[in-house]
Amino acid sequence: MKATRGSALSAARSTVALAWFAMVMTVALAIDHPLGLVSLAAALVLVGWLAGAGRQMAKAMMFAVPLAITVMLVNALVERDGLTVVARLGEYPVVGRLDLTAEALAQSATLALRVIVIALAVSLFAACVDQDDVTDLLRRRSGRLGIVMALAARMVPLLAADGRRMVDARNATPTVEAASRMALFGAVAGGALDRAADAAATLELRGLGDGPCLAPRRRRAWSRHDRALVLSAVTLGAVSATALIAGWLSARFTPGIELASKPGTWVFVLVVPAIAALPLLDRRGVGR
Amino acid sequence: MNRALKFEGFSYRYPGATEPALRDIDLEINAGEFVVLAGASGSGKSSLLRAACGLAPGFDGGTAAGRVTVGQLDTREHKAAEIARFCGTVLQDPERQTVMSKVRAELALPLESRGFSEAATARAVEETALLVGIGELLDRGLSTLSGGELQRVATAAALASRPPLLLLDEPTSQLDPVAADDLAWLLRRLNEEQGIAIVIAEQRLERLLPAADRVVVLDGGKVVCDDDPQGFLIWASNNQPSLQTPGGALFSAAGIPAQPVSVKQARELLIDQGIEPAAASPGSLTSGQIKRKRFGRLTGRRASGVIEVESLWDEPANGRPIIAGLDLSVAGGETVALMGRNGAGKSTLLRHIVGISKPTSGRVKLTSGAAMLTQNPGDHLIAETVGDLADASTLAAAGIRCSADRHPRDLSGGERQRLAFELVASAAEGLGALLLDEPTRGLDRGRRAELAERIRVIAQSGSAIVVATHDAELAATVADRVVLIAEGRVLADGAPSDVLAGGWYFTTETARILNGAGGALLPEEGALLLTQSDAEAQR
Repeated sequence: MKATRGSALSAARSTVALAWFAMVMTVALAIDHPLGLVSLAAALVLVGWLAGAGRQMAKAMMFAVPLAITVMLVNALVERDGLTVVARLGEYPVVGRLDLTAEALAQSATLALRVIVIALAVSLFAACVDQDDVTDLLRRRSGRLGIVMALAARMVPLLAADGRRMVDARNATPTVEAASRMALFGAVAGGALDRAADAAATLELRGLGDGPCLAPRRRRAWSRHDRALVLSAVTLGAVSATALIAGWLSARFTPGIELASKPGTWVFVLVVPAIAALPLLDRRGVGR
Repeated sequence: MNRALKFEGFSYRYPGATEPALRDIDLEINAGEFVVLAGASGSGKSSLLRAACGLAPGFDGGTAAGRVTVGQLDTREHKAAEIARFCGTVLQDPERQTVMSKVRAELALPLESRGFSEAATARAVEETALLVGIGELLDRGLSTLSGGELQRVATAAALASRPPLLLLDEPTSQLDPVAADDLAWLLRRLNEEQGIAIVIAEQRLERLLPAADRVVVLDGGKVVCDDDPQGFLIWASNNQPSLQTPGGALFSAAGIPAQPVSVKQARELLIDQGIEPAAASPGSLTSGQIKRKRFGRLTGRRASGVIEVESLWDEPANGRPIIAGLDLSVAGGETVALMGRNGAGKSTLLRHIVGISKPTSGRVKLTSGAAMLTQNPGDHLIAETVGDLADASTLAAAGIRCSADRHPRDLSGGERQRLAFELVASAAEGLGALLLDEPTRGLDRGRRAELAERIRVIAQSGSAIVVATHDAELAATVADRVVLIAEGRVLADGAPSDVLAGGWYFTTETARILNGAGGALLPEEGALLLTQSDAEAQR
C-alpha cells in the first residue's frame, strides 16, 4: 500500500531516498541510549505523518509491537547480568535459576525500542519510495535479479489479496463445511504457482530474454528534494557521530544502569526530529 | 498484401491432454486486418492465440505439428520473447499480466528488455500512453487502477514496442459495459489509424463485428467458419445459433432473412422492411414501479422481504462512500439484478447482505441467512479433490464428468464456475437467499442460457436471488427487477423493461436496435414486437 500523498521522499530519486533510510537505520543500530531511540522513533512518526503514511506505519506497528514485546521478554529472561533483582522466578531444568533484573529489563526495553524504530523505517520506506525505481537500481547491474525483486514485491500483496478473497468466500457460504486454515494456506500457496507461471508467461511476452534486459541509466537533474534529503542524511549522521563521540548518548546497562543525561543529550533528542522532518516541509513538486 | 500471421496444418495438444486443443489449422491473417475469433468455451480460441504468440508449445509444453509464422518468424525456431517484437499479446485477466508497481515502469519494461536507450524508451512510453488514452495514469500505482484501466495498461504494454500485430484473449470479460465499449473503440482506432492487425477472441461479438474484417469460428479445435461478419452471422443462424448476436437472433426470430452486423445496420434494415417501432420515452428509465413482466415470467412479491437493507452506509476511512444510504427489499421467489459500472458498489452491497462486510451505519435484515457466490469461483473450491467438495449428484448438476480424484484447479474455467455455483446454490437452499456476483463472467452464450435456467428454477423454489452483473441479457432473462446503482446509491429500481429498455449502456442489443420500443429486451420479445408492427403496417 502506498502513502496517500506525495512527499520529498517519493519525489526524490530512489538512490537518495535509500541513502536517507540507510542513515536512519545506521543511527538506530549505533545508539543504545533509549532517549536517542525515542527521538529517532518520533522523527520517523513525524516524517510518516507529513508524508501521509500514518496508516501504513500504524499497520506495521500491529506486527512490530508484539514482536518487540516478545523480544523484550525473551531477552529479559535470558540476560543474566545486572545487580538489581526485581523478581526471582525459581529454578528450571536446563536453563537453571531465572532472576529478573532491572538492568536486563532496561536493556531489553531498549532492544525492543530498536525493533520498533527499524519497523517504522521499513514501513515508511515501503509506503513512500517507488519500488520500481529501487528495482531499477538492481536491473542496471543484473536485469533478471531486478525483475525477480519486482515480481516478489508485486506478488506479496497479490497473494495476500488471494487469501482474503478465499476467507471471504468461506464466510459467504455459512452452511458449507469450512475449509481449514491449512487448506486455505495450501490453496494460496498453490495459487502462487499459478501466478508465478502467469508472470513468467507475461515476461516472455514482454520480450524478456530478447535483449540485454538491463534498465538504462536515467539522467535526472538533481532536484531540490534530492539536495534537501542528502543534507538531512549528512546532518543526521554528523549530529549522531558528534553525540556518540562526545558521550551525550552513552548508555551502560550492566552491572548497573548508567544513562547519559547531559545538555547535549537533550539537544540530540530535540534536534533529530527536526533534521529528519525539515525536507518534508517543502511540498512543492511532490504531487503523485 | 503483407502477411501478419499464418497457420499451416497446425495441430496442438497440451501436456497430459487426451484430445488435441487445435486440429489442422490453416489460417492466414494479413497486415492491418481485424479478425474476431468466435466459438464456445473450450473451442480452442485461447490455444490458437497462445500458439500465435509462441507460448504454445514453447512455454506451455505439449506436442505440436505444422507451422505457425508470425511476420517472418517461425514459432518453432524463435522464442515467445523474440516473436513479441512482431506481436503484442493481451491475455484475459489484466491483474495477472502486470509485473511492475507503476504504470510507467510497466510500459517501459518491454522496451528496456530489448535494450532501448533511455530516450527511446521515454518517448515510446509517452506516445503509447497517449495513443491508448492512459497519459494521466502513468505515475499511478498498478494496485490503484480499476479493471478497465488495468486492461488498457496491459494493452499499452503490449503495444509499447509498436508491434504490427495485436492478439487479445477476451479482454472485455471483466469489464463493465462502458469500459468494454471504450476498449472496443480503442481497438478499432488502433486498427484504422495505426494499421495494426488485430486478432481478438471474444464471447460478446456484437461489440466487435462492426469493426471486423473477418470472423473465424473454432469448434473442437478446428476452423469451421472463416467469413466476413455478414457471412458469419448467416452461417451462425444456420449452424450454431448460440454464436448469433442478439441482433442476429432478433432478425431470425422475426423471420427477416438479413443479418445485421451493427445496431445502425439493423435499424436501416428494419426501415427497409418498412418496420419502425416507436421509441421508448426517456422518462420510463426511472419509473421505479414494479410491473408485471411481460411474456409470462415470474413477478416479485414485495409483501415480506427475505432481504431488507435499510439506510446502509459504507464509508471507508480515506475516501468517498462506497454505499451511501441504500435501501433495498427482496421478497422470496424474487430475482433482482444489480447493475452499474465497475466500482458502483454492487459487490460491496452483496458483501454487506451476506455479512462479510460491516456497515458504517444502517442494517441488513435476513429472515434466515444467505449464501453468496463471489466473483472468483476458484475461491469456493478449496479441497484436494473435486470429490471432497461435492457428491456425485452435485457434480452431475454442474455437468462435471471427470474423475472425482482431480484437483479443482485442473477443471476448466466454465467447469469451476458451474461447480462453485452448484455448491453455493445448495448452501443457500436452507437459507432462503442466494447472492451471485458476476456469475456469467467467462461463460459463452450457451452456458449463460443454462445458468439463467438454473437461476429461474431456484427462484421458483422460493429463494430470494440477487445477481450483480454487467450482462444486460442475463438481467433481462432472469430478473423480476433491475436495480441500477451508481456511487453506492440506487438510481433506478423497476421492472427490466422499465430500467433497461431506454438505456444506452445498461441495456440489451435488442433494445438498442428497437430504440427501447415496447420495453422489449430479448430477441424473442423484440421479434414479437416486430411481427406485430409488420402486421399493423400491412393493415
